[in-house]
Amino acid sequence: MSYEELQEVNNGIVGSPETVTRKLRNIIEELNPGYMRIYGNEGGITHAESMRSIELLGQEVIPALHEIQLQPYE
Amino acid sequence: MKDTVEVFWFSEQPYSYITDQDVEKYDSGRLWFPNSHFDPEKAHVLYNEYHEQYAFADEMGFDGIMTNEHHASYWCMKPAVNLDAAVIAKVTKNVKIAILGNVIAVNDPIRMAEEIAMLDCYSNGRIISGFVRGTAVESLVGGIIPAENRSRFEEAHDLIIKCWTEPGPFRFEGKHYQYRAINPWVKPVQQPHPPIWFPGLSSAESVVWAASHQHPYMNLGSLLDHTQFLKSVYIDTAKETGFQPGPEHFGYLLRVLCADTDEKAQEIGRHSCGPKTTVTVDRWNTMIRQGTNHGRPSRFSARCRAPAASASG
Repeated sequence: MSYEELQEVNNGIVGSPETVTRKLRNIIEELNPGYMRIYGNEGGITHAESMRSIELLGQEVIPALHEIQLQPYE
Repeated sequence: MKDTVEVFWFSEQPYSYITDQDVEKYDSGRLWFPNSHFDPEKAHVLYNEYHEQYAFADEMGFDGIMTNEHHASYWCMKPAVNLDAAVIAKVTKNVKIAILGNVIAVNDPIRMAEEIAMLDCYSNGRIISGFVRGTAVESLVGGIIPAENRSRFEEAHDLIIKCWTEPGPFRFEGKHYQYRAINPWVKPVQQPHPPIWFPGLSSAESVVWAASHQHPYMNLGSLLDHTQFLKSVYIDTAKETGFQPGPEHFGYLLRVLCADTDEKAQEIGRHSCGPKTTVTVDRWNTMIRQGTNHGRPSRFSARCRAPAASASG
């Protein structure tokens, strides 16, 4: 799969806080995982880019994800 | 039941100076890729950047930080996961610390029990103790017979829990491990012991093992439809085992990159997965292939052919 195709199948989430929140919300609502681990630092990302990603995730994305009500497993 | 998702930060801590051109001359980027490419001065800078990211993730409100271990890997500079967990314990104040995990089949189980207990004391009970079987490379680097990995893993798992839960001294005579006197002085803060997680890329056999031991299963980024299948295996096995599973038993790992705008994020992401960087789309695809081609217990094969629908983005 290409870089774009990997995003289309949601195996990688790349975007603004709004885009990342929307995509992660869809995945969490479908899978209902108690724990979402963010693999956030690949080799080509600079330290500054990683720090900004952490900042945006922490300030804007995670609070929105915490509002999702997980569902019991049938 | 756990009703809110917890979000963990994770980095492989790649040695980000290796290019595809460096690796393509060799049969493998792991065992046969010479470590003469490693520069300790560069590693010093990278390690400290990664540690700064840990502290910042804690400050920014992540619920946890996950760490791992690989050997002979330019894309993971962590051959000793408990050393990294000790750093996390000291540079953070609030996050849970998920060790995913210790390759217990290739290590001394008593030392594993002692080190994890130390970490739980350092962090005042923030440790989640993941146990992994490791890749084939971990077995080879560890000097064990790869075919014995599972039985060594299971015996080490039982012995580590015994170290945490039974008063010492005691004697242990196992198939792989024998000790005349076991008496670990340091014990974990969390009682009876830290939570135990079991990760997997996509083997349903691993899911069955986790569920039959009531350990949460942490998927490492398989495609969504296969992950749904694995979750259904966990639920079925849990019910056969005699407990009701919930979100507290299941986790998922995804690559996520956030930037101020979609355009900026795509620019960074495309560059970071490009042909001249440490982690490429090729490696990404390799992980997916490993995830979806892994062997499955025969009793689950029928459902494998009819995976659930994927989430839409």
